[in-house]
Amino acid sequence: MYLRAVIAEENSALSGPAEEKDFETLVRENHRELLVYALALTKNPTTAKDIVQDSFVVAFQKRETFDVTRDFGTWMRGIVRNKWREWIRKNSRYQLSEDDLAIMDADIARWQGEKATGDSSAFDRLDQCLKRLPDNLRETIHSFYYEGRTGEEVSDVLGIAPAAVRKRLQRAREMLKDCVDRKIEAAAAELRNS
Amino acid sequence: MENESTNFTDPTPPGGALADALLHEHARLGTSDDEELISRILVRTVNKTNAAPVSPAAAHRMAVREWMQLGGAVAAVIALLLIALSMFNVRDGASSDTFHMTVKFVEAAEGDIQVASVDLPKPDQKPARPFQGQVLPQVVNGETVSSVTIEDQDFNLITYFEQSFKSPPAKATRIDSITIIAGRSTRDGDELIFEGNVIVTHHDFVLKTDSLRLVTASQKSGQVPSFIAEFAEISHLATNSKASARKVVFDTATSSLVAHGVVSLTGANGGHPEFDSASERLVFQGDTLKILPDKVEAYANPLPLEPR
Repeated sequence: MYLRAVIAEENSALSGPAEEKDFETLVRENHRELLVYALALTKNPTTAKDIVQDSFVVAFQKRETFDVTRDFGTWMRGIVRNKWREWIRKNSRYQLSEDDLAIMDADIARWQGEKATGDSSAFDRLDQCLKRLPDNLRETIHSFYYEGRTGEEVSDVLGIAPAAVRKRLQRAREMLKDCVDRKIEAAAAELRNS
Repeated sequence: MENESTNFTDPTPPGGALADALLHEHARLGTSDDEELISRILVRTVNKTNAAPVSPAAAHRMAVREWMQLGGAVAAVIALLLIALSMFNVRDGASSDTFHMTVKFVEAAEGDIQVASVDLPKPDQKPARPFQGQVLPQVVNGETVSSVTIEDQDFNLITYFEQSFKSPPAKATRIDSITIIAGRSTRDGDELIFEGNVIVTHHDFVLKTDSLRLVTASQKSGQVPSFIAEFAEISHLATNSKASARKVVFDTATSSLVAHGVVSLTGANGGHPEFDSASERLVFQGDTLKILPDKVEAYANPLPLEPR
């Protein structure tokens, strides 16, 4: 989504009530994908929330400098990345390689595009994909993520070795990621053709 | 992450990390928006009151520093408020109303304790009418402005607040915004009573309860606006801790949430800090959580929370 499109009815510079309402729309449309992005980068839910919140505050403060020909989601991901790098510097955390970061960024960009151009989000696609997982993987995912158990607890509940839990989670994540991406790509192709 | 996913997540492939984050987020909120995060962002951006010379977070930090520096020699506070609801009754049985309250603090610079009261002009004498709309009062530059819709009639209600003393130079101004969503609300004198799935959102915490009393400021009572909740659950955002307590009081002067008769406390990463619920209280203030002594006799042997 382009900020230009959102503020199309405004002739003047970015100021005033209309712009403020539009900023709220942009927050609503982008915050959850950016949360996923920040969470994938930091592995820490609290830090991820803080980074996303601070990023939107920075975006709001610097809205005068925003190039309206650019994509708002891209701009926000850049701010999130900078905030994440600041956090890494302060906390001596490991860095992702630039290649891995680029791959992650491209994935999030597709998810943001899905949200901006259609009625569905990556979360809706995940809903659909979870139903298609094999039973053994689905119950592992459900126990770990949705019931909040630790890996050891899942191992006890399902009666399998911790290594098997680890393997199942890894396999399930790969399948889910692949499924979500394929669905989003199919929707994008359909949109292009229509 | 919270359920030790670091042990069970391969962080190397970016796709795996993204899927892991997506699953965590999906498990947390499904496909819904994160209203609490949106609220926190909007409070710091589009809903930021122009009267505040600095950001709420910075103002808050400055307020804390001022309190520490001035200590007992200087007092605070003062308050103004609030809600220009004195002219009308809040409808019983309203399905869901959202109330925005903004409280402006002025801290004394130096010298003797300065206490402000609020002079409320007498409202125009209008016949009481049942309130059937939404109220969004805000204090801006000392004025409380409320937009009220009653049936198909719109009008603006403006209440002026004036300080009863000549104010010394303000050291800081802090704006506390609190959003209350409740199943129903009624008015009882200077109190607003919210009941049924009450959710209070503040930039430092989210509180859930079934019953909450909001004490509004008035010249007559001299009370400072505050709220009191019973059997409440608190989520403190900065420390990522959660607590359940029999009684929770918002201390407007220090912008802190005080929990008495605490039934449970879960810290960040699911840990359970050592804590004696019978003799200690929790104080959530800004980004800190403190455990302080409490009056033993008042909340000894707290019963477990009853399921709602």
